[in-house]
Amino acid sequence: MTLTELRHLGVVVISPSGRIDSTTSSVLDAHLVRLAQSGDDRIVIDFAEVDYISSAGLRVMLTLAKRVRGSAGALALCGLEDAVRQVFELAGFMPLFTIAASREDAIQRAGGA
Amino acid sequence: MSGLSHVSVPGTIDGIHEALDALEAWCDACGLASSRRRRVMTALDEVMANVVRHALGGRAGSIDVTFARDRQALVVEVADDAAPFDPLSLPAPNTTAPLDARRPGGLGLMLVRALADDVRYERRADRNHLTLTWRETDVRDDPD
Repeated sequence: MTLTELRHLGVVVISPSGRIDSTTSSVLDAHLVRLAQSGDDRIVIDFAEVDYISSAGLRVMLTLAKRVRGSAGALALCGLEDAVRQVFELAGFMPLFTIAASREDAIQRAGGA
Repeated sequence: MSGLSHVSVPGTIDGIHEALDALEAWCDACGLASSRRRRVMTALDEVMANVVRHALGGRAGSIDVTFARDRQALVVEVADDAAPFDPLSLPAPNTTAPLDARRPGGLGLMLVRALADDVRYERRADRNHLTLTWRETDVRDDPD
């Protein structure tokens, strides 16, 4: 997995590419913890280039959602294609997240202005 | 049998990585549809992570993974020499609680059950064996 980060309208957009599983999720988690430490709490995760996500990745997303809520920040997800969407649905994660139809929509819903 | 492969890896995160790489290469060689490959890889990650974290629990050990496919089914078997541990006995997680009440963990085996057509645990010859089966019902997966 590789991570790409860009900033747009005050929102940090993270685009992981490849597998998010037990062998890679710690890299994503560490990156998100560093964002929190630097005070970035308006976040978009774009899953468009993610091959699949396993429960190790779901754990990172759950932790992120709780952290963002705790800091009164905003989080939106986009690019959930079949494999990722199916796992989110099976885990009952869809109601826990703001799921946007596009990256632009996600940035807006994460408070981009 | 259009494909049979076996890898033996250490019971570590690096070992999981090695097995997933081997599975991905095997899936590609079999011409497996990417939708099915993703389900199989997700399930293998869950099963192996469970062995490393719970069955081995930090102890050294090895994990044997066998991939097999014929016209009827795709079968992945994961075997380890840890103490008897049936992951299918774990309680189902709550997947409807609100965010504040959600606790990390417990989702892995629930996903495995949902992603595979059949999951079976056996304790055989002092080893744990978990066998995952996907029936070959989708002709688009067939390399022929």
